[in-house]
Amino acid sequence: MLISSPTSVEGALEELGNENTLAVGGGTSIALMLKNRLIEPDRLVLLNKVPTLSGIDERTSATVRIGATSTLLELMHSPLVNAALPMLSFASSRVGNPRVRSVATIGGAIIHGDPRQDLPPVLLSLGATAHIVGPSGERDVPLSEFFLGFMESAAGEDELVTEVTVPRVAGQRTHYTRFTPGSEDDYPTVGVAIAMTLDSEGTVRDARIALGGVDSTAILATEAAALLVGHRPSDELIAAAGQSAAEGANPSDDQRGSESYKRAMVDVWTRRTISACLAG
Amino acid sequence: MSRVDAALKASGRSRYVADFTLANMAYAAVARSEMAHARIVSIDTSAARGCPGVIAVFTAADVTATPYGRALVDTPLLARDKVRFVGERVAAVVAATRHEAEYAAAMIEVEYEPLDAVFTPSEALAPGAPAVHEQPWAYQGAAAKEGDPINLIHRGTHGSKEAVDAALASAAFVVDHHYTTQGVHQGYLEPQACIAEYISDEEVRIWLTTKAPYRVREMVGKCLDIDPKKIELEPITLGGDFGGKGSPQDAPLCTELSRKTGRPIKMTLRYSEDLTAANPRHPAEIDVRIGADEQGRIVAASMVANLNAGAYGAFTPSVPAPHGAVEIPSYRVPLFYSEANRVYTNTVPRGNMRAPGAPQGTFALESAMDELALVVGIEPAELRRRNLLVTGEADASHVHWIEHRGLETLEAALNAVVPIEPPEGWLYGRGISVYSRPTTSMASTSLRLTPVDDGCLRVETPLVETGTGSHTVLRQMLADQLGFAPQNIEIVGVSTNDLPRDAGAGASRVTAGFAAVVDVAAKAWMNRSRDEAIVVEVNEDSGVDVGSYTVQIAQVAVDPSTGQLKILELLNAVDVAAIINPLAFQMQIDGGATMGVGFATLENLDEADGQVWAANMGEYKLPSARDVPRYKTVKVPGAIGLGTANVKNIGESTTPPVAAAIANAVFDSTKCRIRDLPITAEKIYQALKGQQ
Amino acid sequence: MNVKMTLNGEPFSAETPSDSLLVDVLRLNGFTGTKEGCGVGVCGACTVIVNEVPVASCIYLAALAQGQDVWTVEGLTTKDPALLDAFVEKEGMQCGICTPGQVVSAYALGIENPKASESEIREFMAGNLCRCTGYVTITESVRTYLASK
Repeated sequence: MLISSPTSVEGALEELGNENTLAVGGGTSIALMLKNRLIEPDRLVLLNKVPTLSGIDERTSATVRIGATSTLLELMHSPLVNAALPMLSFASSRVGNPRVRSVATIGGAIIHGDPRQDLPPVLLSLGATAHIVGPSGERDVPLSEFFLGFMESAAGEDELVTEVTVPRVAGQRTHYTRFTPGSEDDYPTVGVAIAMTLDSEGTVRDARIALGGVDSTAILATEAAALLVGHRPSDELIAAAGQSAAEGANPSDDQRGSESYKRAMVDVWTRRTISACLAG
Repeated sequence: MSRVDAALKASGRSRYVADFTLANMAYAAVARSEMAHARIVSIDTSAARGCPGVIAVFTAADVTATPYGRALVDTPLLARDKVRFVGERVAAVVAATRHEAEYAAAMIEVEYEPLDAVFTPSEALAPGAPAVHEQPWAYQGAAAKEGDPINLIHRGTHGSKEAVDAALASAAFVVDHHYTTQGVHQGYLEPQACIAEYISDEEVRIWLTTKAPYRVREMVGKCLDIDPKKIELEPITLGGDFGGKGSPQDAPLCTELSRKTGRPIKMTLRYSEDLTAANPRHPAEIDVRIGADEQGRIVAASMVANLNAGAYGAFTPSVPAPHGAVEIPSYRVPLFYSEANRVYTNTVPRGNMRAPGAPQGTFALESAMDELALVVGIEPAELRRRNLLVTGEADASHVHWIEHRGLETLEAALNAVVPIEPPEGWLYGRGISVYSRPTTSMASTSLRLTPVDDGCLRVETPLVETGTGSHTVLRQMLADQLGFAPQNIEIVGVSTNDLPRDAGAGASRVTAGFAAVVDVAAKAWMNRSRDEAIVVEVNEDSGVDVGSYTVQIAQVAVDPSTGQLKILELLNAVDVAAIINPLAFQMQIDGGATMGVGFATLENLDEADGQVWAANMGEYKLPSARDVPRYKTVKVPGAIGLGTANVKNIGESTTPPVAAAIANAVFDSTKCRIRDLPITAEKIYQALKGQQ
Repeated sequence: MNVKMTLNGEPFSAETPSDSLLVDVLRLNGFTGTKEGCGVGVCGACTVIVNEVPVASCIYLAALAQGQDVWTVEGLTTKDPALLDAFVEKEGMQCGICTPGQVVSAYALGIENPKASESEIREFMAGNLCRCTGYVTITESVRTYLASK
C-alpha cells in the first residue's frame, strides 16, 4: 500500500486518479476497515497536509464554510460555529469520545455516511451543502441529495469533498436529540435533528426534521416538517408530525432496538424535539 | 500508604504478557470456525503457507490429539474432524510477525459439511437433538453416562422433588416463574495472551494471562505429556481476571507450536476473538417455585436451572457448588429441591465469571421473592425479614455458617436509604435484593521471606496480583504482624519454580488465604535463625466457613414514554469483619456493583444462531464513567472473620444482587416484571405497552 | 515506510509497513506503556497525545503521525510528575491495564478544560473504560491532577 501526502487539492485529485485509492481525513473509519480487511486499497491519500481543506469561516454573512478536514473538536470550539450553528457544536461534542473527536473530520463524517452517526442528520436539518471537486470539475450537492445508500455518497472515488457550507439563518431554532437508552457512550438508537424558524406570532415559517439511525442513511422527514409549516403547532399537530416521522422511518432490528421500538421512539423524540425547538 | 504497584502501573512500566518479547520469538494466529456445527471435509493451507513471513501451518493432524481440561477433559488444541462453535480454533499459523500470522490465518480455506446445531439448553435437551459430542461420556472426568440425554454434561440435584411438589400443592401462596439471563463477557480490558518457550521436556517456560499458574501447569503438562514441575509459569502483571483467566487459554496450543517449531511462540488475542471465542459467563434458564404460609413464611422452594455450557465443558463452573445458580443461602427453607443441568450447545464455551452462577441464580431467586411478597400482600422487605436465617440455623442445603447477619444488614440498608427525586414526568421505584456467600477457610499458598539490608524485608509470593490490590494487602498484613514499616517490605511476584504452591486467585478468598499464611509466617519469623530466608506454606481447610451478607437497594426512575431506565442510586449494605485496606475494599464494592449494573441493564453478547453478534466493544458495551449510578455504601461491622486478621470476602459480594434489585425497582415503579436480562428500555416499554 | 516523529520530546524514526497503526509502531519499539485493549477505538487503553490532542493509537494510521509531536504515558508522566502523583495518591487503578490511557486522557483534559467539574470530568473520561474500579478513584485522581495545574 502506498501513502501519499499531497499539499494541494490539485495534488490530491491527481493521486485520487489512481486505481483503488482512498482519501484519508482523520482516518478513524478507514483504519478500522483496514484492520478488518473490509477494504484493501493500493494507495491512501492523506489530506492532513492540504491547508486549503481546513479552516472554518464566514463565506458570506449568510453562509458558514467548514473545510472538509475540520475536526469535530474544532467544530466544538469554533466561536463562529458556536454562535451561528450551536446544534453543530453540540452534536460534535456528542460524537464518540475525545480521541475520536480530535481526529475525525466533518468531511469524513459525511463521506463515510454511517447512518448511526450524529453529524449526518444534524447537517441535513441545517440544509448543508457539500462542495465536491473532481477531474470533471466542481459541483455543489445539497446533503439531501448526497447520501445515496448505506455508506454510499454522491462523491465519486476520484473526487474530493473540499468543504461543507451551512446556511446561517437568523432566528433559527435548532435542537438535536440523541436517544441512548443503554450506554451514553454508544450510537443513538434514534437521533432527531430539527431546525426551524418561527415568525413573531409563533407560526412556523420553515422546518427541517432529520433522523439518524433509522434508515440506510440519515433521512429528512419531509412530510412531518411540512405539517408544521404555516401553523402555530398544537399538541395535536406535534403528535401528527411525530407519527408522520415514524411512518417515514425505515429502521432495522439491532442491539439498540427492534424495528418497532425505533419507530415508536422516532415518534416520541420527534415530538419532544419539536417541543424543545418551540420552547426556544 | 499507596498500592505497591501504583507508580509502575500509572507510568506504563508494569509488564503484562503482551509487553514481553523473547529472542527468536515467532507469532501465532489461528483460523477460526465460521460454522456453529459442521464436519470438516478438508482444510487447504497452501495459500497460507505461501504468505510472507509464514514459518509453519498446523491443523489438528499435526498436534497432540490429547484434549485439555480441568475436571472434564474435552477441549482439543485444534478442531478435529468437526467444529462445534463459531470461533473454534481450526488451524494455526506461525509467522515472523503478528500481522503476517493473522494475514495468513485468514487465507486458510476450510470446506465444511454443515450439521444440525443446538443453541440453547432447551434445544439441546430435547429428545432427538443433534449431538454436540458423539460420546461425551468417554472424556476423562465426564460425569455423564451412556444413555443420559446426549448433550447433558452434568445434572446435580439436591433434595426431594416429590416432597417439595407436595408441600407447594398445599401452600397458602405459591409463585412459579421462569427467568432467563444472557451471555456476558468478563470484560477485562487485557485480551488473553500467551508466550510459550519449549526448550526440552525438562524446561518449558510460559508467560500467560492467568491468575492460576499452578493449575495451568498441571493442565498443560497433562495435555502435552510433560512433567508439570518442568513447566515454569513466569510472573506477570495481569490486566483483569474476573474469573475469566483461570483456564490454560491458548497455552497448550502455544507450547505445542513451540515444541514443533523450536521457537518461542507468542499469541495475543484480538479483543473480538476474546468476545467470541474465550470463556464468557453461561446464559441460564431458571425456574423458581416458592411456597409460603399465610404469614409469608417459606414452606418449600424449588430451583431448576439449565445452564448453557457451550461447545466444551472443560471450564464451565461446576454447579451446583455451594452458592451457585441454584442455591438459597439466605432464607429458612424447610424443603428445598434444586437441580442444575449443564448442557452442551453449539455456542462459545463458557467459563467462570465473578461469583460463578450467582448473578443468574440471585436474579431469579430475588425477583421471585418480590413476586411472592406481592401475592402474600406484604412489603418485599418484610417478606425477607420473616424468612432470613438467624445464627444457629442451617441454610436450604443444610450448610451451617458460624453466624448469620442478614437481618442486621437488611435493617442497616433500610435505615440508610434516602429517597431521591426522579426527573419530572418519570416514574420512581425502589427495589431490594439480598445475597450471601461464604468464605471457605480453604487456604493454599506459600511465601518466601528474605531479610535484606537496612531492616528491610523481601517477600516473594506466587499469587498473581489480578488487580484487586492483593499484594498491597499482603504487605499490610505482614507489616502488622512482623512489626515492619510497610515501605520496608518489598512484595515480589515469582514463578511456579520459586515456591511450592498457590491455589490461584478466586472464590473471594485471597485475603483469607493470605491471612492464614501470614499467621504461619509470623510464627516462623519469630523462630528463625538469624538472617536466613524462610519459606512457609499453608494447605489447609479448617472447616469453619464464615458467611457474608449484602443487601442492596436500588432507586430507579423510568421514562414511561420510552422505557428508559435511570438508576438514581445503588445502595450496598455489606456485612463486614476487619477491613485491611479500606480503599481496596471500597473498590471491590463499587467495581463489583458496576459489573452487576452492566449485567442487569447493558451487557449482552447478543447471541443468535450460534453467533456472538456483539463481537467488538462498540457493540458489547461496558458501563462507562457516566453510565455508573451513584453508589452509597453502608458497612455493618462486627462480624466474625477468618484467621488472626479476622477477614472475610468482599470481591464477589456486590455483583450478584444487582439485577434483581433493579428488576424489583422497575416493578415498583411500573408494575412491569422483567424476567429476562438484560433489562433494556425496550423491554420496559413493551411491558408498559402490554399493560394498556 | 519510514515514519519520523518527535516522540516524548525526542526525535524518533522507525521502519514499518505503510498500513501500520501507531499503537503497533510504539509497542514494537519498546513503548509498551501504551496498551491495546479493544482495538476499535472504544476502550481508551491506547490513548496517546498527538499535537496536544488525545488520539486512539489503535485506529490511528502511523502515516498520519509523520512529522508530528507524539507523547505517550512514559513521556507525560516524566514531563508532568503531578500527573503520576495524582493517580498514585488517589489509587486511580486496580489491574492497571486501562491506567496508562486514563493518565493520558487526564493530561488531555488538562489541556482542553483544566477547570472541569465532576460531571465534565466523567463525561470526558467516559471514553476510557475501566472494568475494575467503578470509576470513583479514577475520577478523584483526575480531579486531583487538574487541581495541581
